[in-house]
Amino acid sequence: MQFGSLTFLYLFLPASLAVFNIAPKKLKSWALTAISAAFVALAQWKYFPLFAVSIIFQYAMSEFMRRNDENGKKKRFVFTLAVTINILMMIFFSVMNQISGLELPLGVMVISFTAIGYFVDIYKGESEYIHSFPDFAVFLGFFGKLFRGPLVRVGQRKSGPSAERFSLRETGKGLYLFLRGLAKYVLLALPLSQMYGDLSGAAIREISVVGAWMKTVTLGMMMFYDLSGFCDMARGLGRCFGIELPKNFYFPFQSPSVTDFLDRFNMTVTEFFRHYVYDNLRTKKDSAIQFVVDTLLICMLCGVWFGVRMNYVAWGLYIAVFIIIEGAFLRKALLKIPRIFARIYTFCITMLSMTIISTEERVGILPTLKAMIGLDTVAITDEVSYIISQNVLVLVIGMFFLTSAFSTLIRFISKKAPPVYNVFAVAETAVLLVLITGELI
Amino acid sequence: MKRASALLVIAIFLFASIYTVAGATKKGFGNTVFNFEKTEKSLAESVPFRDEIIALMTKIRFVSGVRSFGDIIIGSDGSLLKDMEKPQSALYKSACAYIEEFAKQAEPDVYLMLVPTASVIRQQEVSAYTAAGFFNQRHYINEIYETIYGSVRTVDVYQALFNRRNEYIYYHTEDLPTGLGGYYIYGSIAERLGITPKVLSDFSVAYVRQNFYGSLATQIIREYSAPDFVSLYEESSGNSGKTVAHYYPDKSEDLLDGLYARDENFPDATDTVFGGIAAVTEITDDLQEGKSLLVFCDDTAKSWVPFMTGHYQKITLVRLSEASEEQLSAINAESYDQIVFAYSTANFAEEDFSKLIGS
Repeated sequence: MQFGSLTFLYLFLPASLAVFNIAPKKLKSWALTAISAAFVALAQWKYFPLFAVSIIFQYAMSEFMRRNDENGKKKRFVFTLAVTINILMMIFFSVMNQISGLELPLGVMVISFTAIGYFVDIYKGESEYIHSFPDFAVFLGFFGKLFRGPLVRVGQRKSGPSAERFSLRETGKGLYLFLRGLAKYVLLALPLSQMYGDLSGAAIREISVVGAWMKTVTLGMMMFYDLSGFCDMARGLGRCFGIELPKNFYFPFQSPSVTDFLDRFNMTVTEFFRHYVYDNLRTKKDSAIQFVVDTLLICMLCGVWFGVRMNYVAWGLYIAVFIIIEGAFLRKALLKIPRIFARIYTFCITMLSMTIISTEERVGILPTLKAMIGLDTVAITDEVSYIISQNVLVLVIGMFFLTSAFSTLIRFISKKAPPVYNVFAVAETAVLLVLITGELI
Repeated sequence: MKRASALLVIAIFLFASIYTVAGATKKGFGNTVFNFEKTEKSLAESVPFRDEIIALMTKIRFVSGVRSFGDIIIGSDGSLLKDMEKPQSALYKSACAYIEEFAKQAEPDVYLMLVPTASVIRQQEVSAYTAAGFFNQRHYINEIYETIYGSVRTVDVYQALFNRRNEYIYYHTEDLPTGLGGYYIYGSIAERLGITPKVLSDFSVAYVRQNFYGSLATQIIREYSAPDFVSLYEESSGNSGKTVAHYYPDKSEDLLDGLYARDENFPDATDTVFGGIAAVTEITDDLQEGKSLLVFCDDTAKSWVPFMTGHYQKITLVRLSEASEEQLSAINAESYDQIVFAYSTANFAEEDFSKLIGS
């Protein structure tokens, strides 16, 4: 079972909301723990024991550290053990996924990263222990964020789902946000993924200028709508169950610089690495070398978040190079030129980065780059023009929603004419529900 | 978002959920909850306004330029083209082997005619890229004809149909040749069988079942497809002594006066011809003395066999897939002057020719 299924939308979600609402206030965390466990069991039964054992193990480590808070040696040992096991688990599954195609356990990256952050914070005494098991289980394994995050640090967590934030109004807002995320995934990310697959197949047969560019742009949009769609779903589900989750994307493809792009793309992941790696490792402030090293490290880790593959590491390095160049001199120039040109520059650089992610080992990046500048290739093939003709609508809508135009309009309406906004929100919910259902039937 | 709006959002969501689950429950949903695919299917069939939603999604896709819906492609003239799947070589090779074996034992001359489907003949209706992706039926037919070369005579209708590709030779919404397409097929096979084909003006034509939609026009894409009609050809100077007898595996039978069941409203409009083709169908002309023809066939026979009835006293059509062992053993192949195997390229490999040897 996935979020993008009728079973989840019309059966699991309403049943979960009913269970959560019926549960007494004191038991809401337990109810949400059970709901999350049930979701994992239904989504990926074979890894359910791993999920359960992992959460219980992390809780046991946390409790052990709490009870030995004064005993530095024991605390350090358990801290090292917990962090090491989490890192090994991520590496093991990522590598096995690359080597043998082993299916990744649901939420392995999110749970492990969140746990590592938690153990670092409590080890350093920067955050309180989560003493209650259901609160701990929800913090690590809330089903809404298992797919793509967002990553939440224990310091950002306001409280468990038993908090006063839960209300019917929040549930309504949560459903609205969830449907928006689901729409991004079902109506845009999935068709774009299909289109990307078709374009990749076409490029193997005969590469063309338009084909190479379309493949790159399609991948960029697909990744954005997939990641931001899942994060919006997570935030929406969080609201439904009284949990506040942070934003993870803020129109990254209209950033005025690559540095800004990284602050808007997968924000919680970047922030996570900045907090735990950058802030902890940096020694000499304002040193140029330190800036270069830190930027390279952070960007590489941001790439590794997508998977332990050379492509992702190379993507991180590529982004880092532009951030370093901007840090050195380009940013000042970008601030002086009209904003639209700065945005075009960032859009091109970040979209081009997708060629690195899409590069296959046996082909290499060179044929794509050569095709993009029109060397040794035709302008467009019949196959590419056919693929584009079949996906015009999704491309136009996809490009439009990369910008903040719609969001700005909605914000404007909500400020100037709240009743109109409220009617619009209800109508939007109905329309999205119809379109999503139509895609899933 | 105001509280009232939030409550309305919840209400919309709950209405859709409760309606869907209640609908699925009525259809025995309880038995499927532990099977994800069945649950998903059961819910998909029960969502509120299902047909309207599907129609809306199809309209959106069509307007945005999509022409491929499942395995059906909507042509520029509203015809629905379905590419044939590549047959397994083991299947069609064994089909050829059975026919060769049959031909060796049979006294009369045996012919094989493969009729291409509309997707390759009418490929001008789709984009060049789509057409290039269609299964190469010309090559497939050649390969089969080469396999059986020497033991069975072959009839090539591909070129005759391709030359007339801009005419109404295939139904828009049914993957079968029309009456006119049947006439061109008749022209090719008649010459091979040693008879002189009559010119089209020798036949009178009547149009029935106007604006019907065939099996390719599913509810989803009907709106975007062009409707069909059935054209019934009869010799202008023909006699009225023709009858069609249908023999079914359960030993029941019925009789039709004339070649066409004009007044019947069959679900498959093309069944107006001969009243459909049963397991064994016998077309006889009481007023004419002449040769007899045995045809092992599929539905493509409805297009060209009417033209043959002016040349034969008896034509027996056999559907191997439907005929019982008893029916097959009752057919004396030696009593016919000629034997034809006539199939659509899409059906040839799927036919059970092993029954020929058993009988």
